[in-house]
Amino acid sequence: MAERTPDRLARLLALVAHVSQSGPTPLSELARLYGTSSEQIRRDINLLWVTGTPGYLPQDLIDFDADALERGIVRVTQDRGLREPLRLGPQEGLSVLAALHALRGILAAGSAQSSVVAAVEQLEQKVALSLGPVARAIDIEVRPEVSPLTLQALQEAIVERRQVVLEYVDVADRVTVRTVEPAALFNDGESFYLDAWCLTSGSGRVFRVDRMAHVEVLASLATQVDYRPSLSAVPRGEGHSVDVLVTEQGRWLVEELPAREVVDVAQGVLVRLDVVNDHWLNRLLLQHGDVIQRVSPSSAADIAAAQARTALQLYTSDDIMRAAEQVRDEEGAP
Amino acid sequence: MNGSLPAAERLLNLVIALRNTTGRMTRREIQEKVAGYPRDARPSAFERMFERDKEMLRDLGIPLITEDAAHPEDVGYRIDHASYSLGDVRLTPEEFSLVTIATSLWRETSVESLSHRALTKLRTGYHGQEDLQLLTGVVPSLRDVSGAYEPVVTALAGGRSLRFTYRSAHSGSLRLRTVDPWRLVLRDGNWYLVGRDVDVDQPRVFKLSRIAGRVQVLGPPGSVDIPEVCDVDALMGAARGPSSVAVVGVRPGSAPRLVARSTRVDQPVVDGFLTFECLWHGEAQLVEELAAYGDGVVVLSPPVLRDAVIAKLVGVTRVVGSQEGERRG
Repeated sequence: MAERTPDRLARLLALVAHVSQSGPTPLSELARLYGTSSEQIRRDINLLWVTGTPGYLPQDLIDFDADALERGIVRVTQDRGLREPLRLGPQEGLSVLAALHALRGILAAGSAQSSVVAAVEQLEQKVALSLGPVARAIDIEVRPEVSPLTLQALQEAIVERRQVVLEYVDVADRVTVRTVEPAALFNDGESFYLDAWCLTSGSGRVFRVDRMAHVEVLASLATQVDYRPSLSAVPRGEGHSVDVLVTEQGRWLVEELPAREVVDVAQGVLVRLDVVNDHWLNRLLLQHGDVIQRVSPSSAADIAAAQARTALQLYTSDDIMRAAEQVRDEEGAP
Repeated sequence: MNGSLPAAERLLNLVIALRNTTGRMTRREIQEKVAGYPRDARPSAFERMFERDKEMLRDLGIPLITEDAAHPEDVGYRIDHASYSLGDVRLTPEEFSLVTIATSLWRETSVESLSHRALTKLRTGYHGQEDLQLLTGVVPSLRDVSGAYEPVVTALAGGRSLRFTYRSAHSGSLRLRTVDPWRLVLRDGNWYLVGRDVDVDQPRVFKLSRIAGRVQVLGPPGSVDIPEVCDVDALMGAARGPSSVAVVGVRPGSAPRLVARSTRVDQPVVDGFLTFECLWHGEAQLVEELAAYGDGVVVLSPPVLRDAVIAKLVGVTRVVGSQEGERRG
């Protein structure tokens, strides 16, 4: 994909400033620092080489040491006033500030050292100061409701590569006990998740930390040292395809679904989902049956509809109606 | 000089010209002297190009100053050297690592390129390898923030207004809103815009994920003042409505998460159920959660919550299963 002009311009300015201030730097090092290829850095330098002040005679142009460049070393000999790094743009600054606010919330909820939390706070002040009054437009609170002790135990298990026994309330609200090998903790702004190798199921799994009823770190060491966590709260791959037709009213729901394909149709939005866990699909139908018109294959719809009918029968039973009246009378009493 | 240079090269030439000029440059000087601008272009074509370029440079943080003059021909442009540089935001290696970790929150979201650009600038003169192990084991990430994030931040940064189509939480109906943005808010993993709804002249809360379609940034820069004080949580509370106590019956062993945040009560007694109380702010999430417990949970009070859950469940009985795969239309 073509790089956006502002992104390239930012790097062009940064390259001149960086090399002017740090001295001769290998192409490969610049490529690593700026997250691009050596070829791209070379193209950037070729572009910089022909830019300068009006007149555009040799002495007007940005210049590099050509001999050094042949050896793969970038040395600036004429910076044409670009020696200083450019300040952050307002959108860039606000996005960094938002990320720092969120990080501090996550750290404070976890068990990070207070010195690190203080360092983040100081950084927030630096960035906010440089942004001026607009900095107050960012109001971010991340307060994951999770026990610091649980997080601490999981972090300890990750660092020491130990196995952990979890008592876990799954999406179907059943309590299961599993032995897992924690690989990474992550946070999506609302919840903490643990990505771990699950010995009980023999696969990688993502668990919500706030659904862990009990965590016990074992003495035994992890066996799957090569396990690479996906760090995604949305399960990926190896699922089966389910098509759901969402009504126009439920369009907002589409954004929150792990959709493989989204197609606008006359009756609403047709979404092809990647379903890894049938309990998840069952919950989805029960939660949003009012804006889901059709499901294919049909078995999931039949099951959810049967559950809904059983639940609805409760509301017509004498027992429940009497209890509901009792609550109303008590609340109505002065 | 011809006019077909890549945009990045033209913009770079403009920055260098303005960095080195003594005094200022008029539009005409820029068109005639700076490489990349077509000298023979009609004034209107040059104007359009130059307006876009100015905007892009300002978005990048370049302090481009316009010096007004009595005659439009004499309006001049210069870069304010004092505020060009990153200056005080120069970071220590530890701070750079923390910013890298923090901005990784934007990984795989639409904001990734903005935060990447920030890192590009902050990196100047800094060599080391970032120490990403500073925060053992915790990888921060945020859910995607919807395409509305970028225009909202652009409007906030420029002090401009926003116009978008918004889906009401209750009726689901769509309506065009014009808003002076005040705050970008994150609560419980959801992004909100707080600002003045221009049509009703009242502060309002908008959930970014309910904004439908494109967001338009409008009005001249600096036309919206971001108030110093704004009680976001009070406004969000007002948007959510007052809380009430919900009374529910739970079959033993069902709904452990609901039970964990509820209080057990003695009355009323329902055969086969335990009775609990929990707080309800009128939010749809509780209705969805209760419906998902199926016959594991029954709502006793308030009636409005009970009716909402019943309506959900009736909706579920109407979902049609179709055996053959859906055909795309």
